[in-house]
Formats: sequence, C-alpha cells, structure tokens
Amino acid sequence: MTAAASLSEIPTIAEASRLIAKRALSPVELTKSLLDRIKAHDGRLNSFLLVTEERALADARAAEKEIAAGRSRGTLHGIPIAHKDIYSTKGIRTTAHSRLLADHVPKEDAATVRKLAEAGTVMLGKLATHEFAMGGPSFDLPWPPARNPWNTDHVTGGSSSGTGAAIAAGFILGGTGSDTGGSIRHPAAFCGVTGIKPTYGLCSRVGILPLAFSLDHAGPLAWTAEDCAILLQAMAGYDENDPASAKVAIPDFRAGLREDLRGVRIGLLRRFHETDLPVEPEMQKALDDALDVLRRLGAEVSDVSPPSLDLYTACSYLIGLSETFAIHAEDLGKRYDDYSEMFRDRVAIAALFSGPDYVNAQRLRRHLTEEMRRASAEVDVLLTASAPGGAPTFASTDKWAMFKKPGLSPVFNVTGQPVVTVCCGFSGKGLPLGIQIAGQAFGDATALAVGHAYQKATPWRDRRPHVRD
Amino acid sequence: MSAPEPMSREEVEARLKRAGLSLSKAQIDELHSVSGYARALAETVAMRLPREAEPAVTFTRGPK
Repeated sequence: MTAAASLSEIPTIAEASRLIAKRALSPVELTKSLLDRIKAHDGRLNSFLLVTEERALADARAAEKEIAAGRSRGTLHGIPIAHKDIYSTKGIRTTAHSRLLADHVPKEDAATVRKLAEAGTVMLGKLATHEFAMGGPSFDLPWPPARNPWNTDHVTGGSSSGTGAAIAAGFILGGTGSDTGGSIRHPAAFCGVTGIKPTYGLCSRVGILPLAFSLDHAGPLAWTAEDCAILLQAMAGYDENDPASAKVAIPDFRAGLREDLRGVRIGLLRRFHETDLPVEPEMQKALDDALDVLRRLGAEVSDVSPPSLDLYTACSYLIGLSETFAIHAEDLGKRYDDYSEMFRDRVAIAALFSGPDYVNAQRLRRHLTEEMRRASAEVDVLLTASAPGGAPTFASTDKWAMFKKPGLSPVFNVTGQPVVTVCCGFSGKGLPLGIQIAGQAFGDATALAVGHAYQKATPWRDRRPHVRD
Repeated sequence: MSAPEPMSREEVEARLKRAGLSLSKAQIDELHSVSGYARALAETVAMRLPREAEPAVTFTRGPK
C-alpha cells in the first residue's frame, strides 16, 4: 500500500487481516497510509480529537514483528482502529469532547480498550463525540463537531460521530462507539457504515464515561457487518467489575455469518416507521426494496406490532435524562456555562422530573420490554428504519427536536436488544439511508448474520464518499 | 407541532432550585418555555400498571 492511499484502496478488516496473514500487507505501511489520509483530509471532517501517531506506529511495528515471528494474535493483529473519546485510554487524554475534561488523562484503559489492544489492534487516536455522548453537534466546545464525509454540510449523527465519519472516510478500519439512545446506530446510518449496539451487558462498560447507566451500551462500528463481528468478538465477555455484565457464553460471531437466510423469520415493525414516525418516501422505498432482497435470500417476513414508539421514547428519555442529570448534577450546579448549550439545556430538563416519575419510567420499562418480547416471540429478528431519512444539515439542528417526535432508536435501549444498522441505499441527495436489524436478547449473532447476508446481496458496500482536502 | 402547555413559572423555578441549578433569567425563561415536554414525558410514563408492577431496576444479586 502506498502513502495516502485512495479510499478505494482501503481494505475491510477481514481483507486486511487476510493480506497481513499472507505477508502481502504490512501493518506498518497500512498504518502510515491511514495516518497520511488523516493528515490530508481530516481538517475538513474533524473526526479525530487526538491522533496518537507515535503510539500507532509503535503498535504497528510490534504487531509486524510478532506476526513475522509466527506469533499472530488473530484476526485483529495489526488492524488500525480508534476509540470514541469517552473510552478511557491509559496515559492518553480522554475528554468526552467536553471543556470539563479537557485535561483528563486516565490512569487505566477501559476494559474494552484493553481487550482490543490485547487482540493486537493498532490505536490511531481518539475520536470526536457529542459532549459526554449526548450534547451535539455543538460549536461552543473546544473542538468542532465531526462532519459527514458524504456531504460536510450534513451532520454525522451522534454521538459516536467521529467513529462514523472516520470509517466512512477511510481513516480507520473500525472503531468503538457507545449507544444510549441510538449513538452507534445514527452515525452508522448517516455515514453509511455498519454498527452494532450489542445486547445490554454483552460488552463491559468499565472505563467508559457513563451517560445513563441503565441504557449505556458499548459496541463497534466498521465498514461491514463481518468487520463488526470481528471487533465484537474481541470486545464481548463477562466483566466482574461491571454490575450489568452478563455471564453468558460468547458465540463465534464471524462463524455464524451466512449468505442465505432460509428459515430466518423477520418481524417488520411496520407501525414504527409507517404510523408512529412516518419515514420519508425514499426511505420507505429503500426499506421495501430491502425487504424484497431479504425475501429473495429466503427469509420469511411478517408484521409485528409492539406498543407505540411514543411509550418507548418517553420511557427512554425520562430514564436517560434523569440518570445523566444525577451524574452531572454537581458540575451543572457549579459550572453550567462550561457545558455546551446543547448538553446542559437538554439535561436540565431532568430537574423538572420527580423521583416517582423515574420509578414509573422503570416500571413502564419492564412492561414494555415484556410486551416487545411477547410481540416478537415468533420471529428471529425485527426490522425498521434507522431514521426517517438521510442525515440532516447542521443548519437544521434543533435543540428541542428530540422532544417533538418519537425516535426510532431509543426503543432498543429500553429493551436492551442487540441491533445492527446497515446501509440500505442512498437518498436523492446522495446521502446514505439505514435500516435497523434487531435480534432477540443475546441474539447478536443472528442480527449480524442477517446484516451480512443483506450486504453480500446488495451493492451498497461498493460505494464510498468523495473525500476531498 | 407546538410545545405542550408549560408548567407554571414558579414550579419550574422551584424545581430547578431544588436540583441545585443556579441559572440566568434567560436560561430559566427557555427551560420554562419547554417545560411542557417534561410534564408530557412524566404523564406518558405514569401509565396505569398493576400495583405490584416492579421497576426494571429491581436488585437481583446476592452477596459476593
């Protein structure tokens, strides 16, 4: 690979791994090439808050040496990634994209950062996020928000904004994200990449700055579902230091991928995207086309009708904002104006809730989770849109929009189910559109398998944004 | 879609103060203007459930 490789030359994790194993690709050359791409193009995209060039080259050299010595650690050995800047990195600034933590240097890695490092990944740096994984996109912070590589006038979706942008732009082969109300799935959809919000408890949250304890999920983003499976394999697993961690057997996610869907039962959440939050006509068309593809692959599709999105959304927001307020109460009281306007004003709404409101939301959550389980008992995965359309512009961002309509994503933070978001086409303006494929609890492998089969049967992974200086 | 009817100004001020927030008049004005959303969320989650309906956060672990 040459310096500053073009986007069409950037391999997936699976491809790079095969080439590295055959000694046809050098981790050091791959890393240098991506660092050159970041230098050349990230000035317009702002996907990185910090590029750790020395660390990246040291990781890459170590990987190359170990592999040459016949000590390969596996598929991720020598693969360049980066971390959302709410993941603690030992000795490396971790800011949450916030003025409050501008000089924060953790003493330990997050559990998932450590696991990915042990798998042999090369760390290129720390990625932009919405402030504390919720606020943005904001222009009143020490760093600008990430911009969408498909059109820089448009948002990336958040809060794993830098991860989505950096993968789409070919700066990294994969990265970490977190999802409390859609923060992996929105950037995956809007940037045309792939993301999985794993089942709640599958990946440790230890060392990740919290947004809302009972809704926070850690997970990966990458170009393909196969790459997400590879990353998730390294990230998943029980952690006794995380009180929400699940003690379950971790399947071989990549081995579970398939290219046909015979026998797979898909439940269409039609009421979500047709009635509760009607999507734009081009999104509806893309969804209908995706269903045709899935049927051709052998899947059986039937309608599933859980309670309304309004209920799931209200439940999610009341719990999420209350938990976030509890975490930030002291700083909001003393340093309100040091937060971005987006973050502080939205979170301040939680001051208007009462204790019984929070308990009621948690009681409703149990009820809604059971209703979803009952409604989807006869299917393997659920399908709906990721968003009503493509990424909106920065100019159309509305601080209070979240309260004006229900969301298509928070429902699965309430239930804790795994969800894979994949690209299902492009809008008339050339912006990616996305669908959510939700599995049953701990059915992450099935959701990835459906996403993988869909990607193999469609051309969307062949299209890349035009990234310019 | 217009915002739901806000809470009373006095109630918003009292709740913000109780939560430890010391805000400017303009900031309180803005939060007051959208306080109806908070009330709407609280009303939505106050769904009539059986008295014994447990919250999702019920503690389940025994001592280590």
